[in-house]
Amino acid sequence: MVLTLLKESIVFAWQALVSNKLRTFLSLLGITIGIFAIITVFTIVDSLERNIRGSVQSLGDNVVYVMKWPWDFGPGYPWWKYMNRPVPAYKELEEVKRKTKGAEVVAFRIGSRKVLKHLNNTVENGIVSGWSYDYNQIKTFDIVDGRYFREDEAEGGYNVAILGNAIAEGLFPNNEYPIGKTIKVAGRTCKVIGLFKKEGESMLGNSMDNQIVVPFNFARLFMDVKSENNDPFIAVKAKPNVTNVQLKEELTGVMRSIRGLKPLADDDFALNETNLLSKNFDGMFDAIGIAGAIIGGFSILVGGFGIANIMFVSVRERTNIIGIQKSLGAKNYFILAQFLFEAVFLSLLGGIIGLLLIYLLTLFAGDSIDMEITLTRSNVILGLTISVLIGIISGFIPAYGASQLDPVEAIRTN
Amino acid sequence: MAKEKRPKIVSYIAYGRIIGTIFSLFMIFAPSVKRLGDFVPMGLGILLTLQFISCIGLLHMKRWGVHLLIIVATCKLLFQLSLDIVSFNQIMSLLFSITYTSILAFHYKKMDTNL
Repeated sequence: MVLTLLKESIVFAWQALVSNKLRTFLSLLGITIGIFAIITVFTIVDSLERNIRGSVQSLGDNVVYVMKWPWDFGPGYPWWKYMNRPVPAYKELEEVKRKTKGAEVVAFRIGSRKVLKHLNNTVENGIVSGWSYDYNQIKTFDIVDGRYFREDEAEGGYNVAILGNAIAEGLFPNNEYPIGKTIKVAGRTCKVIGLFKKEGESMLGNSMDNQIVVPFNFARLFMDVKSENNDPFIAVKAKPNVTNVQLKEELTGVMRSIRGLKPLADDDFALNETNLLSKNFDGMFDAIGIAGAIIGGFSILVGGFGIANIMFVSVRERTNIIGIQKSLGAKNYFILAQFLFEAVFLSLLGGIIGLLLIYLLTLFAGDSIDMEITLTRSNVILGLTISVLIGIISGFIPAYGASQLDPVEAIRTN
Repeated sequence: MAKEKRPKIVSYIAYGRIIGTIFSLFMIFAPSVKRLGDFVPMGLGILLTLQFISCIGLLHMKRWGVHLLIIVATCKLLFQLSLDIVSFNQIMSLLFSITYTSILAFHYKKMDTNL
């Protein structure tokens, strides 16, 4: 009985929408634009967030970085305090390894932009990273071809290199096989032994695509390890049962003793961890999300008013039909459902079109900006939910008004 | 049944809640709500929609409006308890709901029983 009534309500609503195609299209356009605006913002924010979190995660969750500058980019950053600090030195690496009980892996990294050459092909400003052997246990990456350098190659400063995807494409165009070939790194000959998997653009700029990794003892031949320009740092990975807080406390003591700091002297080093970066980005993404929600929310609200308006017109136009239906025994809830379904249909259709447009946009945008932009399940659910709810909210008042009409007066209406 | 004149206090409650509901709809999009789960904005949205409908019932002096308002307030509380997001604002909102309900209970007998 209820199902039959529901079916009849849906059929009535569908007929009303089909008989006024232009009006239907114009009224659902408001919701389409609203859903498109709000879900596009959420999709972009989610994709950027995912990209940044992925980049941050590749730096390691349980890793503390001993650096010169702290990762705290809030207002009032006292840069003048940090300017005269020394950069972490390679000789400190051994002492940190020896003294830090909570450390599982300690590694050193240095890097700067250099010119890379292979025959007539040149890559300007390729990021050359010099890693101590253990750095592969700190940074997550995939090698698709070849291998990582051996410990003896790292210790002996062998001239071997692992190329990022973009570097390999620049130096070896036309799908030339790079493994085993020699290239010039800052004027020095170097043998290619591996190829990193393509990662795509990274918002933090730490994608392996634009990097070439060589052993630290080879990199120090053409990079000044004491220069801040080469961004040297020590990375310390905590043992499984050691928290970052415990590791930082221990490292503070170790670094202070290595540098011979007096008890009252300030630290002349920074201990950074990836959650500091995440915290900075959380606030930014929340602000963008809220701004997007307000802008999109108002668009949807306007779309909702459009639907409410069209529903009032619809009720007015069909008042005498409502009267006939009621006089033939139609219940109030049948009339209510009929108009409510019409409003929900309109709104849902608008929402679905909006979501389809976003899906098409993600397909084109993903190709053009080399970053994965995906319309997530949660955003699809949110888009559909908003559409249905706006349909109900904007359609309920006219629908309820229609259901309350007196059949005699309704039939008399022209 | 002759249509009962709507007391002013009922109008204030209904209009107040309608405005509140429309502004609360923006909460569905809040990043903090989205982070609680894929279906949390949907749940919150359904509750707000029912709250809006209950207000329309109140404006028409219908008893189902009061019933729906009580059900929504209870569901909202259970929803917040299940997500462990009970804060000072929520407690204040609950107190308001109890106050509204008491006022509406006073006018309940004057209300229409039909849909």
